[in-house]
Amino acid sequence: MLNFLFTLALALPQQPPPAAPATQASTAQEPIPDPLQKELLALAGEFNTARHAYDQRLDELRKAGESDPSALPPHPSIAFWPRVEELAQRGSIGARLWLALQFTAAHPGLEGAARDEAWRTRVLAAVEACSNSTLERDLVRAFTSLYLDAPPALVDEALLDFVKRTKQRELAAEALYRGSLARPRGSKGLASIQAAEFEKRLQQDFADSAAARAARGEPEVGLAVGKLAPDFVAKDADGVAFKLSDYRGKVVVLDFWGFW
Amino acid sequence: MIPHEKTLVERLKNEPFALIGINTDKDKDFYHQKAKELGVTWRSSWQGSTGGVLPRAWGITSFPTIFVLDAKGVIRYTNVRGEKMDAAVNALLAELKTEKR
Repeated sequence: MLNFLFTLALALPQQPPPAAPATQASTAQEPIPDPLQKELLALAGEFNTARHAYDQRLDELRKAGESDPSALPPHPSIAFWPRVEELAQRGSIGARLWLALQFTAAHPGLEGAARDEAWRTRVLAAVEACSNSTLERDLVRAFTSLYLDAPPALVDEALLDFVKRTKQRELAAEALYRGSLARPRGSKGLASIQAAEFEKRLQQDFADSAAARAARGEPEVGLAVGKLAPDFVAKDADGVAFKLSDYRGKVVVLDFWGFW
Repeated sequence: MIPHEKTLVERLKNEPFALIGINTDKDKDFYHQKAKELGVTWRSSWQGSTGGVLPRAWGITSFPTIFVLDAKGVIRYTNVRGEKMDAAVNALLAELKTEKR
């Protein structure tokens, strides 16, 4: 899961979602790209291959009925740790995210308060690096998986730190939404301690965001039938600015046309 | 096209209904002159080209493209013209009245 996120983070072009409503385009400020993108991608490719082989080996052992944990091969993130850390020290943003996400897998011997404190440092470093970079969308996604195994207080703290740092309102809202959804489900999955506060803050401070709308059960913004039409601001023939949302409460025919 | 829309706007002038035109003509003066000539009374925004900001943001590649939105702003019909447009608008207005009751 974490590995998948990492792959996603590096493989996807870092662009805003398609057909973003006008409200999103207004928060223009160029996100910082990873300065070591190329090296990072190469290392990620290598790691993914190793991870794939590891997963296959685990599967084979499980099928063979192996239950002794000491017979299992070491997790590949242990061997990769020093290399990724070196990349992080040279300023790679993605490497910092990887260190936060792979922390426990790479340190199987570490437990208790010492583990939590070291993990906290890694997660907060990832938040600092990823905020306002091209990887911040990946960081926001990562919060959800962090809630599955990191101490919830730690993730809550990191999430709030991100909300404070980011200049992207939509992403701040999405982070709060993900935090508000982090409630115990089944046997696995920890609760966010502040889930209720996150939910309240989402609706108070980010009411107009896509995440807040989703939380309210309102339709998602999009251009297909059944979706909420993206809002826009335009000037009419008299030079008066108007918004599509000014027409809530009315049936609207929106006609893209021309005499040509 | 225009005469039909004019009839629709005229017929529904006392209803919770609005027609918004997003015009993609290149020549602004030509657009204004034609609009005046044909009696475009509804709100219309001149975008300067079929690749203007709004058509691009909405990914519109063929014209005319029509969206019919309900009172909540949700897209309910696309590319309905003529009688179909009338029927779509009537259905949504009827729906709005039932909800209010």
